[in-house]
Amino acid sequence: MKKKLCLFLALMLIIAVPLTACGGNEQPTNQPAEQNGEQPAEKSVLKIGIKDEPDSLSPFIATLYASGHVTEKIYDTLIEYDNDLNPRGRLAENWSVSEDGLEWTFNLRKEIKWFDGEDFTADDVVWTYNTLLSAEFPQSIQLNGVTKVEKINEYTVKLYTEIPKADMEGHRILIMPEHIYKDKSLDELNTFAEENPVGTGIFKLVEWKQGEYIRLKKNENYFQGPSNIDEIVYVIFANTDTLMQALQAGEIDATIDVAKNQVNMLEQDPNIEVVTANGRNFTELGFNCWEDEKSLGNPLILDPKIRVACDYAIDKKQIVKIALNGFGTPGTTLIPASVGDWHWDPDDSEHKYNPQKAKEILEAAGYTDTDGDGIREDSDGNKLSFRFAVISKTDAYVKASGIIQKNLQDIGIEVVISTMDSGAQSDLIYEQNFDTDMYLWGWGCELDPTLKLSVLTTDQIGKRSDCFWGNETYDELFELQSTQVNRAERLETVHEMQKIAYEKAPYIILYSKNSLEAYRTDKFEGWTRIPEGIGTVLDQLNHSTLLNLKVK
Amino acid sequence: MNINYLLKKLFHSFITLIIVITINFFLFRVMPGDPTAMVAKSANLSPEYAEKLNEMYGFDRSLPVQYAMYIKSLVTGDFGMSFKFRKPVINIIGERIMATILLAICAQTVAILFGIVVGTLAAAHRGRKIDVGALGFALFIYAIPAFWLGIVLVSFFSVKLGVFPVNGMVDAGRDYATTWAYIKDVLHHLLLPSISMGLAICGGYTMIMRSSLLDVLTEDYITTARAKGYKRKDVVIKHALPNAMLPMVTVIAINIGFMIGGALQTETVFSWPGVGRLVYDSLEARDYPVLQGAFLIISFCVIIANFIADILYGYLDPRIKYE
Repeated sequence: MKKKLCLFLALMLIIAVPLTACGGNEQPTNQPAEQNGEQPAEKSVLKIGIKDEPDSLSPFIATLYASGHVTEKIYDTLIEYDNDLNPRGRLAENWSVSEDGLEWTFNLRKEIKWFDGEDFTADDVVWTYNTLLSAEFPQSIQLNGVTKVEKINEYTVKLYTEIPKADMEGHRILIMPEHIYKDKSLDELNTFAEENPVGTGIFKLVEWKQGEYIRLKKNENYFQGPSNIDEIVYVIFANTDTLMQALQAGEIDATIDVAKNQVNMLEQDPNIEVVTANGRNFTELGFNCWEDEKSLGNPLILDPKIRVACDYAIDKKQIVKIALNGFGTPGTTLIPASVGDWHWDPDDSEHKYNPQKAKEILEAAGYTDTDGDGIREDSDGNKLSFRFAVISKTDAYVKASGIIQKNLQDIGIEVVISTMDSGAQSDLIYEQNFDTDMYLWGWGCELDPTLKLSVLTTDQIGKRSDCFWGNETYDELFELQSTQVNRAERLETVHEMQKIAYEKAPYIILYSKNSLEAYRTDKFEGWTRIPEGIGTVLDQLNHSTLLNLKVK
Repeated sequence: MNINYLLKKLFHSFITLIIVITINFFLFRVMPGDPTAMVAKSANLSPEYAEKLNEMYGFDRSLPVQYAMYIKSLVTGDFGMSFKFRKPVINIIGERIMATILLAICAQTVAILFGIVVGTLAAAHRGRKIDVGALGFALFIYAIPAFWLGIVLVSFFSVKLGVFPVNGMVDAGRDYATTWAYIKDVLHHLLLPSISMGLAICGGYTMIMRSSLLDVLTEDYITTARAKGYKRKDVVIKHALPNAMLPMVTVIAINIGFMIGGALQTETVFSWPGVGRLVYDSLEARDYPVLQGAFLIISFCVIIANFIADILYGYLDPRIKYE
């Protein structure tokens, strides 16, 4: 009997310890709105499902897309875009540039207040820009070329640049409150987990439950007018299947992460609207173009003729159809068509899918299959066999890589795929002397082409360039375009650069993914697409949807 | 209880813990990737800044010094700073571990009760319809992947019937009028994941319980008990079951330990904010401090669970104490 009692007590102990420990956790995290048990007044809460959790809500250290999506609600930029994607002021009332293009004067809006009641002034802008200039923060790259930031008066700021900065109006830096951060060291800013961010934005952070949700409430004093919705809750989902199911069940109102293979199912639901918009992004097949002797890549791939042959051999339409379920457009040049007239259209010189032409190029360049194994060799007998690094987690990459492998096999090029995680891929490239020949990667694009064009400059080898390509003419044109404040002249240069990159093919631009969003129509109305009628409703360069949205 | 036995087991656990801590330290020092670049999240790193980061995280010291620093900070409860979230690791894991333990306990309760009852019934009716049915069911459920079962439960109960929420541990962003309302909400969210996870592991328990009990039922003392005229039910429950529980205790102890870290599938299907998902996300972001902390805590849970199992053995099987 004693034994049984002890056994029972021991069992109770096992169960009780974690339960009492849980007890601490089961406290409501928020003070109840009303203690007497009555329901508080109905709040309008917009629930947005997201797949990726932000890494941080401090603009100084956040790097993920999901983080930007939230921080842009909390903080403001000087410049935003109107519904036709032309720059207009947000925190800045207006701005002007000097004759020589070296001095930019921003006049700031008055009577804007931080969440804690302090006035927003030129000091905040100067402090933010100076801090970004003084160290390497993720956002710092946008200030390339800026040499000095100066406060003229309480509401005027001047930016000085070394050479004219053509992409000044395209920079999107979130302005941070000087009065909160001025005493913090760089180290502190770098490890500062932003628990209670003080911004000027349209929404304020209420709480962030890691792995669960991020909750924002509206800023009643927002200078563009407060939103009609009281709260936004970003609900974090660990998988897209349940994310879609939650949307159908009405647990969430909208999502920025629509699973491509579920679009048809969602479209059949009368209460759900799926938004498909051309995405400002591209996914490329990148080649190891590093000419340094340290490179561990197959030197054959350094021959642009082989790369161009690959471009002809790859069926991009098929890739869009299979890897993206059709939700994308085949790519051509570095700046995608969705960015507007910065895109250069190769027209007749386009490398259209044509395996025959690809074979001819390879034959003419002296790559033939002499030993009859189906793989071409160069004159010294080196096989056209390349290693292909593919990130296993990105479903579209895995599917695309299979098609590419087959396409290239058809023209006598062998491709050996190895799948890995993204960290391992960047180690291969950056840490292990580029120990692969091909890889897949993607970029998001800004409305200004400078940042994306810079990726292929020689300067960026080992930094943001992932293909380690270098071309003198391209570099010179890059310098030229970044100083051409005359848009027409700059446009010509930008097109010329894309032409060079297209002909040398360090990147084969496979496709631009569509932006897919979905929302429920039964609870809220006022969803606004930016650019008007064709763009997205949630991922926006201004606050249109948030300002228009209201409960039905 | 024999104090020597207890001390011996405690000592064993302690040695295991030291070994785990040491392996944990060196494991993460030989992992690929430059931690400085990972913290800075930029390959375009100025040397001064890199130096500063090195100093801050201690990467510039020799390995023994780093090891000493590591032990010292562990003792003071400092598990380091997450590369990704820039927050203390202990806080990040702390926010997640209770969710995991809650889920693990509930799922285990479901599985243990089911396993013992069905396993015992099957063994007591060996070869009959009950046995065949129970064994078939156990094998079937054992073979079902946890994530698949979870998805099926979600699409039926949450989407089709709409009686249970699809994801998370609470309704995201809801204000609770009372603590009771909060607990009710958690329980509402907890039911599907714990059933799905419990079912996924109960097949194994059933089979172990059944075979263990069958073994015991062939022992001589059972025959003696039967000969004395005890009822069949009493023989099984009072005489056979306690001895048959021994292997179950081992399996359950191991399982509980692993569930703390291994509930990834269920946590992913139900977006349960637990440690499994945290480990997976951190692995992808190469957030070594979080991984290190999580591995340590998972190992710690396994060691604790085994220690408790050892103590239970002492009660269940008095022979052990006198070894």
